[in-house]
Amino acid sequence: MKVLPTLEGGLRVDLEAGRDWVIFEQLVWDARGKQEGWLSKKLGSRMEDEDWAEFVMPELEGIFASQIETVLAGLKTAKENEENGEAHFFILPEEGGAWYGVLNQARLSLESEWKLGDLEEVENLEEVEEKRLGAYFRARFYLLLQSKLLDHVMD
Amino acid sequence: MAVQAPEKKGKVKPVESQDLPWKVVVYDDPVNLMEYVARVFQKVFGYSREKAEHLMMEVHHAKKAIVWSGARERAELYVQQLHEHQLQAGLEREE
Repeated sequence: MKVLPTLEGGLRVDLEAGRDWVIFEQLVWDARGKQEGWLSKKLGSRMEDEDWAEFVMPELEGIFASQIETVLAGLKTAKENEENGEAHFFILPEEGGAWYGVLNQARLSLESEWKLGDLEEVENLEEVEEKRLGAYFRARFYLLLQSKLLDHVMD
Repeated sequence: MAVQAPEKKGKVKPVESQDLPWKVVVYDDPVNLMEYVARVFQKVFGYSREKAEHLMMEVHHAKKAIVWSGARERAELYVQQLHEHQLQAGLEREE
């Protein structure tokens, strides 16, 4: 996979192998989490106002879902243009926020489920459970892509 | 003559003093990037780069920071905007 900045202020992502697709399919899966509306509930847990749950949380759910839809649309376009397992898609400047948001949703979801921050202290990752290790590496990839977005798209 | 209190229909919010400001508090989390948090503070509150970075570092080191204080309605709006950016934020009452 290659991720390169474009002259228009976006990113071009070249997918070169089957596993490149898997990580982006997994991204959407991770971002959705295990429970509908999990992120707005998590964020709203510090707000005691009942109106918050009734009015604000549904709005937040809509925003987060819309970010996922933006990412899915980009991936769908790439899939349609796939040839021999290779494809590319662009993250346009106006889509940078949505992409960043989805990557963040995914990382928050993985952190919540697997407590990945604790793994920063682990010296031998081979001892870590396979599923948790997979989550750790996906989160690392999402973080790298977020950094690219911050550096090149969301200035 | 005793007068029976009218029956309450629905929930009534307690009356709160208008004088005491509300604090918008941002909590540290292991996911959000420091650079991103500083940019969100600039965007939401209109803070300078320096102030935004200072507050971000306070969140990082002290695990939470008061990023704004004032009227409740506006404080709630700020919390909502911080939540839209996926930052852990809440309201605390000035004591």
